[in-house]
Amino acid sequence: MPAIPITEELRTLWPRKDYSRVPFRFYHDERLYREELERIFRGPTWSYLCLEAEIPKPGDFRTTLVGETPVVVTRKDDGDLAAFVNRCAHRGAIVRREAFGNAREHICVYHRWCYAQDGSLTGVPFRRGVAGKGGMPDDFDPKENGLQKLKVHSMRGVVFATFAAEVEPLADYLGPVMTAHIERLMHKPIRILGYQRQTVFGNWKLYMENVRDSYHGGLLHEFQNTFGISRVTQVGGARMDAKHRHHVTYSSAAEAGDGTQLHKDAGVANDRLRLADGRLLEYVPEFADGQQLTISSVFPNAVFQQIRNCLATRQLRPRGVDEFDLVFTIYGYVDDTPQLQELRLAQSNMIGPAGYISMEDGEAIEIVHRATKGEATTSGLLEMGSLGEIPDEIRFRTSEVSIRGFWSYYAALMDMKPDGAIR
Amino acid sequence: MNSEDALPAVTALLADYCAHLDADRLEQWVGLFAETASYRIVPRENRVQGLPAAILHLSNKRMIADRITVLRTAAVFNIHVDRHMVSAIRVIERLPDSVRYEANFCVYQSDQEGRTKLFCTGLYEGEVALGPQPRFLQQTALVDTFSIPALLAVPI
Repeated sequence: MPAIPITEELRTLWPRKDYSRVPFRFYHDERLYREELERIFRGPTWSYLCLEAEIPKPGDFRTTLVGETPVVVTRKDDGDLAAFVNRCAHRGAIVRREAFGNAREHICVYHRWCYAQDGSLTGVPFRRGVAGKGGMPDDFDPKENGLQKLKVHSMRGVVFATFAAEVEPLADYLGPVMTAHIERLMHKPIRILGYQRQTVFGNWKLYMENVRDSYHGGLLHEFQNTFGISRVTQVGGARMDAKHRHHVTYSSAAEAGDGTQLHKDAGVANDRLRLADGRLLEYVPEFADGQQLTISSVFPNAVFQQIRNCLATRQLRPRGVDEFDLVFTIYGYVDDTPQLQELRLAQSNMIGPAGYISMEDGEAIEIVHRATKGEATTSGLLEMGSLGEIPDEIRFRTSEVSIRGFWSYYAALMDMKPDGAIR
Repeated sequence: MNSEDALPAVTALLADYCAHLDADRLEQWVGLFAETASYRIVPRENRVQGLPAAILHLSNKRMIADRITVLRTAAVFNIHVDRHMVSAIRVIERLPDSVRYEANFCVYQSDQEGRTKLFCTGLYEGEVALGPQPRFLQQTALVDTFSIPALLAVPI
């Protein structure tokens, strides 16, 4: 008798139909994680690879990961983008070992199989043998033995790729909300300022929940409410696409009430101190909509952030069920003045593994992951904001509705929807 | 004072630097920097690619002091003890009133259960003002371990 698929088994664990309870087992089940790599990261989704500005010249390449699959993304001599699995078609060795570089061809060190910039096989040493002896069979077809290619598409210089043969076009996948958001961030040519990375000891889904959680922002991140960067009491909200797979959360400087008093009433200390160097908190207006903080996510592996003038993408790379890497790519615009670039660098103190308003996320995820390990029947709770049907737009910040949105799409993709699911 | 004479001063300053960080005397650590000093934690990958961004980019003593103020009053991070190891301290350039130096470092972190992990390794690159009380004019931790395990709250 064939074993019941893990997704079929876990599907029965949802305590509620509207994703307002998440079984802790979903963060720890090794078999579920293997299914996620197949159905999500190698499935009908578009994963974020890099920014075009990181590979501006013909031949430029970077190695990256989609799920746990090693991938090379490159710009070909004709200027087009290409991406392929970084694993030799011969014996499975990593072909391109460097993190980045420039190359007209890619040669595996093991047996010197050679691939073109699009991953096609162009050379097999001693294919005809030596002096009429050895060699590959006559019917060996190089065309059938190239590197596995991914479909690549760029949205305003943001490069996405997919393994799926059958998948909706990138613009449809992103939808109008996320497309408009990317167009806003990439409204003029960008310049890469550098990278920050961190390895977080928790399940990758805890991070995608964390970025969608506008409730925790001013509570966990005391820096935010203390210095007024972002408070749950500020005017803000979130928008999602119709399938709730992506989200944009935003806030402006205006408060929905007396933020200082409201936080005090909630037992949250704030407005206690001032920075000796207040430059960190300046904002040079550069977007027409007045929003000083926007955090968005594209399912399954990308986050785009604007915190004042600090702009970055974040790529999530799962490393097993218990660990993931985050790569922050910090950028500015080509026409930045030296002063504005320095402001962006100063404000990058707020993000990344040492960031004033993001270092806590690593700790929060780790303590959830640690405390929920081995739980077979208990669940986390997501009731803040609303229950039942998940709206596309939320006009307040004390909300976990976007997290329910994440799970509703996750469950659909994983074929794990509860019976009578409400989404 | 020639470069060789400056080595004991740099070594003693670095010893204080490590001792203050490891004993959670962070305010005294700030006191080791000159008013115009900068402190940066630079990922090796950014250095290799000529990119200016850092993990921490504190360009004056007020920003360095702010880092400690925030850790003390408005930050949540892992409860831990650091232990710095510094070796191969070299004075590499003699300037009129200061020297530039380099040193290897690593930092171990231990948790409340007494378990220790290597947290990071790298190279200190700095400039030290000489005098009766040597002070850092610049201090950069160029980190080889640039995929930071979990988070980096306390300076290294």
